[in-house]
Amino acid sequence: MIPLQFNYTKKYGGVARSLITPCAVSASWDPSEGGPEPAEVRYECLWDTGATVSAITKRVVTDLGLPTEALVPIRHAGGVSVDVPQHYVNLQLPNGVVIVGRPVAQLPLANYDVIIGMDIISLGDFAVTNFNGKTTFTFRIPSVEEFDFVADFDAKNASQE
Amino acid sequence: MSAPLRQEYEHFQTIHEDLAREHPGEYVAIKGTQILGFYSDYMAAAKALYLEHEQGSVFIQEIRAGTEALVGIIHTPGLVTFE
Repeated sequence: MIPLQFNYTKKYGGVARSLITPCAVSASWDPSEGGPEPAEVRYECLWDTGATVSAITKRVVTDLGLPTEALVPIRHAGGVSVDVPQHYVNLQLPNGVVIVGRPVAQLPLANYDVIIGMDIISLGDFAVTNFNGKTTFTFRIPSVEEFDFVADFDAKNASQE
Repeated sequence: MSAPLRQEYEHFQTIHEDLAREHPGEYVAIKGTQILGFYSDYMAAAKALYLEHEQGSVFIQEIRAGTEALVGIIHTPGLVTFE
């Protein structure tokens, strides 16, 4: 039996310059405990392997009425910002997985309301291919396999010798 | 006016080295300079704390080793628009 996994794939008509998908955010709560479900709002999110943390804008904080529950320093291209508000949210990824009680930094983001950083990307397998000039982005949780193009190539070469 | 939770944040930084040695991977809750408790994850902390304390009045943070462990990094230029 194949172990349970949650998959998502987005195929582009050309080469994608950024990876943008829908996601949904709510105040943090534990679905296993029942109780009233907080409002969930959908946003476009940018998947950014250059971000060590995930982030949301002030708009998301206002939409969901999120309290500040910590402060964190954030280093970015313009320097270091101290006292960046940190919130905890439930984040529904496009593969259907809901990450519960996740810390996110509140940042003034240029074009997106949510950034999915490496803290979440590293929860699963993440791949981008550009075969025939068309980007395919795929993601799954949990991680189930190692991708290694060098090993694949060497194995193909070895099999033809 | 100082930022909300600023006092707690500064206290967390002061004691972070000890916390990282004694409670790695746990979540600490701080109000003022008082440690309210240590928890396995954020949800456990929230369940325990928010019956008694107002949300936003308690500093809750994961404890990770290393002085740089809690610094978030956004490498992508132009993504963050701090003036």
